[in-house]
Amino acid sequence: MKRLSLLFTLLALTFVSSSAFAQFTQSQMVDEWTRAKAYTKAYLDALPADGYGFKPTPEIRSFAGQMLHLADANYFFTATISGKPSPMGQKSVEKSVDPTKEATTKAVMDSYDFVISSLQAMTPAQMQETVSLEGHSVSKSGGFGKAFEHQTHHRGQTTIYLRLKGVTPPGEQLF
Amino acid sequence: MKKLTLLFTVLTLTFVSSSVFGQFTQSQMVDEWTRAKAYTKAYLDAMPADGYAFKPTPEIRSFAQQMLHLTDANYFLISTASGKPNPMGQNKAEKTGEQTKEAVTKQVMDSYDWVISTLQGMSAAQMQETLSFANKTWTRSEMFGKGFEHQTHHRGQTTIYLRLKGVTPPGEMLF
Repeated sequence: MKRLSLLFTLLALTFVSSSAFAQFTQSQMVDEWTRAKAYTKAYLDALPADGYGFKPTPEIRSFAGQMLHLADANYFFTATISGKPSPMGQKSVEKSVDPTKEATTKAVMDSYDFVISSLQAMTPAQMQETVSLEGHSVSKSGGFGKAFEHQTHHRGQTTIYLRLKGVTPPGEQLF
Repeated sequence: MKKLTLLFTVLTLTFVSSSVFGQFTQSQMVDEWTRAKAYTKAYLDAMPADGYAFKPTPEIRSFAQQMLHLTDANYFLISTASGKPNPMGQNKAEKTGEQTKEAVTKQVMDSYDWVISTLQGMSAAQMQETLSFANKTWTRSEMFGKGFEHQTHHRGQTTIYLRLKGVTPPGEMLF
């Protein structure tokens, strides 16, 4: 009987082990975010300082505005998921940081550093807890995935800002 | 001794089970790709038929070509991820596909359907197999993640095409 229950435990664990397997492991997620940071840095470097206020159409965000919004979302998602207070407190990066090339670059890089250090500090058990994001219940791990998609989406948009300013954007750094 | 071995196996499996836990489970990945398909469809719907040939600058892809490039990459990256043959063979949608709104929409949607059914057909063990790409080793699961990032990046770019054509883009469908 004891053996049977052990066997059953083994089977259950095997099942959990395979069904829990997912897209990126936690350490792969750290690698992905580290790459994303360098990829965004290449965009920040590529646009000359005088392009940071540029808007393709008057009603939308400037290049600096897009990048600072990306930083705000990096802080928001990560603070919500990890429970670690955002170093920005209640302040919005987009509303409070000087939209110059230098200040924007620093603010954006700092936001990636916060994501990466918070992600590294999560235990596997915490990664499997659920969190409410924008009214949706997701695993904390999945929440980091949503945050990742968000920065990919906004960096992607700025590709066309670069083109319109006559700059060839950095090649896609997917790997 | 036998009991000790069993205990050891249980502990190992527990360790494996927690260390492999990652961003999205396979079924969550299916949900993510299903949402991504609907999100891209909202973009395809939003652009009027006469905007499909629009290019923000003459040297870059038109709206239709961005979407067909996304299609080609869905097939290529997920064929790489899954090991399944690319249904397009050597053909490129961007080079050979019809570029009207109706034809582009169908090609893009078909590519997502193929990704989703291919993903559903993967076993948990297959997802953990490794492959070599761009001089690095990846799990099949990670490569699915790369495919996901690629389509997010190119859809993101087309946001500005919509703005430049006077169209308000669909709200961000992150959930």
